[in-house]
Amino acid sequence: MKSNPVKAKLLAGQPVFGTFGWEFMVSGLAQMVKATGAEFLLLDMEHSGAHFDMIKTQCALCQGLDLVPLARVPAIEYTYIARAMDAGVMGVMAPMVRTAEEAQFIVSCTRYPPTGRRGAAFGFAHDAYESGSVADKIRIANERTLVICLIETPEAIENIDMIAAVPGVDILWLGHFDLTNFMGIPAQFDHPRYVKAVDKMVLAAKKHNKVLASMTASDQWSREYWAKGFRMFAAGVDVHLLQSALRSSFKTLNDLANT
Amino acid sequence: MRPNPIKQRVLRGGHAFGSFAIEFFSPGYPQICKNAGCEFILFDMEHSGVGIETMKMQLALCRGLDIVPFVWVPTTGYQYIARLLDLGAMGLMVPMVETPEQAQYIVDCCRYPPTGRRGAVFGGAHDDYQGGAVTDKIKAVHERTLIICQIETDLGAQNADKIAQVKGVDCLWVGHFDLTNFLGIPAQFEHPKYLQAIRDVVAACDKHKKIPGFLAMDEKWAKEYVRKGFRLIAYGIDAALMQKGLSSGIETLRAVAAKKRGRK
Repeated sequence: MKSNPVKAKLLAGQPVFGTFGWEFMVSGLAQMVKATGAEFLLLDMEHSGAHFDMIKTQCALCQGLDLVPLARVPAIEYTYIARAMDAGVMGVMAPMVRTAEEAQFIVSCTRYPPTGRRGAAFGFAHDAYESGSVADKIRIANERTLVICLIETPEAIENIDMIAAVPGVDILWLGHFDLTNFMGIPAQFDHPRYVKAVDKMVLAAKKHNKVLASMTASDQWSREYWAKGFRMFAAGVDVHLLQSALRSSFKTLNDLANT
Repeated sequence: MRPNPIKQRVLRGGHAFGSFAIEFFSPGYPQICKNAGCEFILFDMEHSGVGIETMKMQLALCRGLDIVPFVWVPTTGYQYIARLLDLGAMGLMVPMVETPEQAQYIVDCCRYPPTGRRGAVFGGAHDDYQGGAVTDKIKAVHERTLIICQIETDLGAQNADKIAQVKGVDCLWVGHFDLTNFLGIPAQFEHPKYLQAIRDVVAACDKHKKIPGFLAMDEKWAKEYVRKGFRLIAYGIDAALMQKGLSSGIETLRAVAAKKRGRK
């Protein structure tokens, strides 16, 4: 059973960078992003339409590559969290986490009894079809699993200190767009209320020694959030990376055509 | 580019054993074979009904697992040979090879000019989407590609020595069932004509420093054909192995249940 080098780095206070798999869940995606230096591949199930068959395949494609597969599940539900783990992800991101109770429930879905409520199946995808001691596998599973809470509502900001305090929650991930949306200030990332909310999240994470994470779509965003203390970043969404490269090339071609 | 760790070893007289996949093209299949100790997987396209997209996925699933993927293409055609290499196959098995000219054509399809006729694309699946010098990649791909000609007709068996002589052909693989069929002695694997053909193929390989290859259907075949001199051996077939394990379990259950009913 493989360990999770991303979790080890984060626990040691080191930064990790990866990317968001959204649209192009093809056979080469894992190797393509690995070749660019990505350390994790976060597979979206919330907005992409991808289901467990796809997640299982993408996890298997990561298996030999030293690339950590994570999934964003569509809801805070045992059936999504535990099944994604069984398909082979080394961590789950849960959307719209609003309270410490929800965070506690998410953690419990990722842990076997007595600490949690995860049902057991061994010798399958998540343990690489290996035989061996089940007790060892449970220990490795608990060690390697990353729990990521998406902070994207005013309620979550309200409760952020209690959410950050939950044992087993490893990462607070800023859902920046939804946060502004739910605050009634869509995409106003300079708005004082948004800035204040992020500051509060940063304080809570630092107090409870949790990792701050975010997507990044621009160098400016990366610099700004790095300065705030964010240390885990997912670059892009795959489809937007393709589009921005195309746009840039078409701009050059159009400029040539128009002169 | 990832090398093929078994090619040179087996050409120099070593053995390599792997699995033969015809049915279970699932995401876990390469890892399951690796756990079982396989060094390679021979994926069938001739009889399995699967298309090139399923192959692309299985070839990608082998990445990083230290298991060498080969594909059994359905026919001697550039459009199969070159495309499967582009998707990352580290070797190809071509069925019904009968003449040295045909073998030469197969080798040509696997080689970039000036030695061959393969069209070029780099930075894709076969070179793991990596950058780097194209000349190095061409050298590496020629070194890693294992070319397997299937000998399974009377004419192919007659020409075994000439086929083995073709530079670039690495392995002559006996298609045992078809061979008996084409010899007019279907499934008579003890027939003198069949056994003579087997000896001819092994002798041709030994003479030209090529690898004799075979599909072992069970332990009896495995023992017999290693003894006959075959060195690249696939053990299978995946579906048959599963059925065998399952039927043995079901038989046990039936026997125990019958005994219990008998006691009542």
